[in-house]
Amino acid sequence: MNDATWHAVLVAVLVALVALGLLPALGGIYQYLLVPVHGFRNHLRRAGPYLPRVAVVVPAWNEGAVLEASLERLMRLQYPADRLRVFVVDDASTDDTPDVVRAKAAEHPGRIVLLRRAQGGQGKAHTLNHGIAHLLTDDWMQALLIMDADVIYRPDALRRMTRHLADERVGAVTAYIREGSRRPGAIARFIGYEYVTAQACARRAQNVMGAVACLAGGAQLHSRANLEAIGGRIDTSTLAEDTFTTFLTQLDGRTVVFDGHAVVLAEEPDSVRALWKQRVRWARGNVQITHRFRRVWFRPSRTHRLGAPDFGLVWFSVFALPFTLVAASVGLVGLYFAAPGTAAEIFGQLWWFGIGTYVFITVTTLLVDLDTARRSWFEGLLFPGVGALVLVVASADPGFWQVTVPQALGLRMTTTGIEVWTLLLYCWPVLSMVLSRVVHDLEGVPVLGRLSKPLLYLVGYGPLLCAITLHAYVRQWRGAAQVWDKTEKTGKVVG
Amino acid sequence: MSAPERRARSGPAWWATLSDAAAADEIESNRRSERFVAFAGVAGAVVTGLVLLLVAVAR
Repeated sequence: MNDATWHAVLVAVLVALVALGLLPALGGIYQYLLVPVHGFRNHLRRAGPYLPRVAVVVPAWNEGAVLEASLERLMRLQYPADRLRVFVVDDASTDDTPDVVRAKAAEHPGRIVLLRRAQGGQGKAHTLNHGIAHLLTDDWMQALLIMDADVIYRPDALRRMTRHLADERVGAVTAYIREGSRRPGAIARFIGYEYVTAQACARRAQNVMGAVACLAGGAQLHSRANLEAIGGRIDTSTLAEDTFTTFLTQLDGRTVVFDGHAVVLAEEPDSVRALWKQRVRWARGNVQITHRFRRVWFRPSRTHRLGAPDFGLVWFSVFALPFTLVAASVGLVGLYFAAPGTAAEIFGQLWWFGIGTYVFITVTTLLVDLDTARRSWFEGLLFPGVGALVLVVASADPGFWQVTVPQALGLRMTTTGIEVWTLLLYCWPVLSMVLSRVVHDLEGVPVLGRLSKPLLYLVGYGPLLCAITLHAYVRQWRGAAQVWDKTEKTGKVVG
Repeated sequence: MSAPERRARSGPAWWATLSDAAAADEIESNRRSERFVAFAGVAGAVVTGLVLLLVAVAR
């Protein structure tokens, strides 16, 4: 092959890398196109009046600050009192968790039970299994509700979950966990918006697809039949036991349903460092799941839809997001040096895709949950970050930042300046992830730490999640120990 | 059924009675309100189309 041919091959490869960067957005758009379908095609048409005997298992390690409120809310659920029992599994807490539970048990005799593990620290799944083993010794329980100690249930939440179990094909139901901190900071507001995209919208889409990726760890209801069919226990081999259970349920031919009207509130991390810890664990778990179920992906089946191409697209568009961002940057920068005209042309064509994806997803998300929109609209608008929005404007109108803005400031960009600016734009997907790490490291540092929040809005919450995911992949690849880091909560949940 | 009777047999207060009829009514009410997400999606698509058109014209 001569030089011209090699060059053509190189350009083709670089263009393909840029195209790869668009894949995650395609997965997102596909899900959002299914959201309006859920308005008419949902499981509510098969739901029915059904109030089974529900055992609630609450794993708790040093949850004294939050447990009293969540137990009290459970006792106030609009659900027959004789059909609801709460079992708090104390994982050898060293705070006043057992005392809090005993006090509530005394207030509600027979309805709240303390199960204590003498030795704990093995993680949530082990704690749950201790409770489940106890519950399966008799036949009282007809359905099992797994929740987190800090989650606050709305009075109607449980019956809005159990109604789906009236359909025997349903194995499990998951509620909508809303960020519910009393005074949410920036991170909590970002999470609030994220939960609308990842739960209220994405899980509705997955309902339509017939394949749900994950039951919410803080609000999942299983029929007894499903629990027994998946082995009577929660898998302990991964960091993503919720996803593992969700997959087992569906692989066995039973449906998992998300009900957006069953709302629970949770206090989420309100610092970048706490969020980073939590999400590294989740992302590592997803790596484990992707590997464990590798024979499921893109293999259609008659008994489940986890192998359907659309579910695979949705799963891997999230899984591969950090890599596709890197690919897009490498492609654009490579084209800048190998074929600058092609780079400029491709970049100039991306505006409609970037603007289209951003506007469609943002507007739909804000409308689907107006309550969260009122609290988190600003974080919703800046979810991709100021930098990404600058990039989209540059794509739509290259002269805006290079000519119009400098002119307005009485300045002129030099040729070198334009080159540096162009490379900065092309590198931004990778740069935003690098700067996300700076956001994490700066937090809490005296004086300089004040830059962390403004930098977060510049970099964007979306790129922050990508950076965390990339970090998680590296840790998983290096074989880091599986550790259950507890997210600290204060118990200040509204509602 | 009189208007007060109709009011008593609808909405969260009635649903909290947990009767089968109340549960069925709640399900039907949630089904109706779920149609709002169809509006949200269509509105998102319409606004997106308008914004893209605006930008395309302005370029």
